[in-house]
Amino acid sequence: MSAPLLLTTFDRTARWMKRGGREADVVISSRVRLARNLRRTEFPHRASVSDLMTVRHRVWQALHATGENPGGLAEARLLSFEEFTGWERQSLIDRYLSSREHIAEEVGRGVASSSDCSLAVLVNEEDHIRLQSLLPGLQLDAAFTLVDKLDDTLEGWFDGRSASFAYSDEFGYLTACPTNAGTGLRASAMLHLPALEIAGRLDRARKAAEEKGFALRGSFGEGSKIWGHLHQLSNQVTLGLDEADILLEVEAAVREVCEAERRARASLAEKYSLETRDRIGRAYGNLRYARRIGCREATDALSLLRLASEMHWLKGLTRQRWNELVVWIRPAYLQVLHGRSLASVERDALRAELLRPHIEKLRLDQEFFSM
Amino acid sequence: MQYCDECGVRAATIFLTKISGNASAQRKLCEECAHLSSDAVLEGLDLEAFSAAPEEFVSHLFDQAVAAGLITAEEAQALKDQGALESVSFKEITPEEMAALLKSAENGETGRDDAEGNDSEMDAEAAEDAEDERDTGSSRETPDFDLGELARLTREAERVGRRCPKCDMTWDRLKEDGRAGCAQCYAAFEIELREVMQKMQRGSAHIGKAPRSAEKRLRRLQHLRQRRDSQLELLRRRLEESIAAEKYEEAARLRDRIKVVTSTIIAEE
Repeated sequence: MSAPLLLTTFDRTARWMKRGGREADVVISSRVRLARNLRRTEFPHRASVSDLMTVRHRVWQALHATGENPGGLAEARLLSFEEFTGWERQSLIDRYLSSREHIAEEVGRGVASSSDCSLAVLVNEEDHIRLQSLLPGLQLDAAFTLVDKLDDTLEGWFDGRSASFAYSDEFGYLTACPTNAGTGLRASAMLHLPALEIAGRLDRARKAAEEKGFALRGSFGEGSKIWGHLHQLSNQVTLGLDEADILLEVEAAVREVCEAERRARASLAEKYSLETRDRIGRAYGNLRYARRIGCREATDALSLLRLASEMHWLKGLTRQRWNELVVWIRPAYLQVLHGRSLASVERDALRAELLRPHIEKLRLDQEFFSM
Repeated sequence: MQYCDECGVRAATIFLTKISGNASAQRKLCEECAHLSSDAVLEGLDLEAFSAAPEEFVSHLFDQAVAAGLITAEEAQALKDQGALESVSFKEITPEEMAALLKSAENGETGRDDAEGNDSEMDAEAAEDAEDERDTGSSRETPDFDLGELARLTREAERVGRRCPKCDMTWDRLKEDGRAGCAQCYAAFEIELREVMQKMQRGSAHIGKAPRSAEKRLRRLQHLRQRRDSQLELLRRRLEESIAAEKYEEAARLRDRIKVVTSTIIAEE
């Protein structure tokens, strides 16, 4: 049995997992997405099967033809969804290359991506074409530049064949959801906010963001079930603003939340000392010695270890290693790693196996123990 | 990775999607089972050539259709030349379907006089696009009612029945789904969407990036207006001169020309 395509298709360590970007103590990654559609085809949720396949075929052609161009997607991996199993498609979500709606139907859908996943095209998700770039830390401008150039390149190719992008002078780029029309731009940052949660200041931060027109949502899970203290801050408005304005506003909002998180982290040692130490200690013990562990529990525990590391209470954990582990332990990704579908109990055991050697290298610092 | 539908043991490398209307059926096969399959599409096909170079393979498919006596060699070449390959994904072509494509080519539906070597389907899109541009001019003229109430009621009655010409979407359905059906919905429901955008977004006027084609169109329009304006200026000067010189016939002619040019400008704006 040969290794599944997806393992060798992409780098195990994506670009966003590596060093880079600013505010990296709180900001895990930045993502910029542009939504585009073809003028003459119905939007994906209404399009016929043959329309969907034609759209995808053209996008694959466009990417192939422009791959060598300066703004093109070099050495793009083209994934047509029909060729992959359900759990392989699910693992694309784990890598932030797809979404639940996207993989719900496989016909005519697909993803094209660079090997390091920094630049990707989602075909026939909610819109025909969604360009996306994913970079480490806070670097929305750089991420935008990547998708902006690819947008120009693809538009040039389609234009040269008299098939233009759907656009009107009044409403801008036309998208399936009017909430995305105009610039079609969604800029977001993934933030690690454990201290705000511990200090009970998360709601305040969320409301402050909402008042300014931004959404602060859990990256996985909603409400109280947010995993790993990971949140996504993104713009709500896409029309009536210039792209540069949107990026500036999102960046400013992100920095504000970062400041709030840092203040909360600073207060943990004094005001929430016992609770914080207890939670970190338990997390460390579980990851170190458990023989089987669920994804949610593992993600939450890893989150606390990252907090400990940023507070210098834990030594030996690099940000890159943390980014890798958080993705590698996800259920679908585990299956890709092992090349087959796995039952839940098996996954829990394999997850613990995967984590243990990495956790063994970590040390809780003197400062953690001193009260 | 997927496994072959037939043997379930070997990895599937051939993925077939057959489309009939809006229904699709999929099959995945490994090379060995594909060779043994009685599927008409696969019969007698050289699957090694398929995996090696899919685009060349389609050309090969035409040759096979010629060999099977479904079409003549000239017809096959004509089809290859027209680039009709572009309009259908090669995975879906059966020899019978190909013959049908050629028949329609014969009847002149995908005419040879379309631009050299260009995708004939995309050229049809371009022609429709050009038509569209002329149409939006007239659809922007909303009638001017004096009675606000009457206007609202009329719009209401209109709106309930109004459908997008391309995808048949209604405004109520759009609101319910939260999604438009196609790009033309934005023109069909311009008024309603403008209202919605003003509430939901930072207004309904886009001020960000525009596609190069839109920029080109704008520049072209500006250029045309400039030329008309300078032409108008010239005509007016000559009109004055001719009146001063008491050349009234010429003046009348110039006046008519000015009228024509002026009305053209208004139509464009």
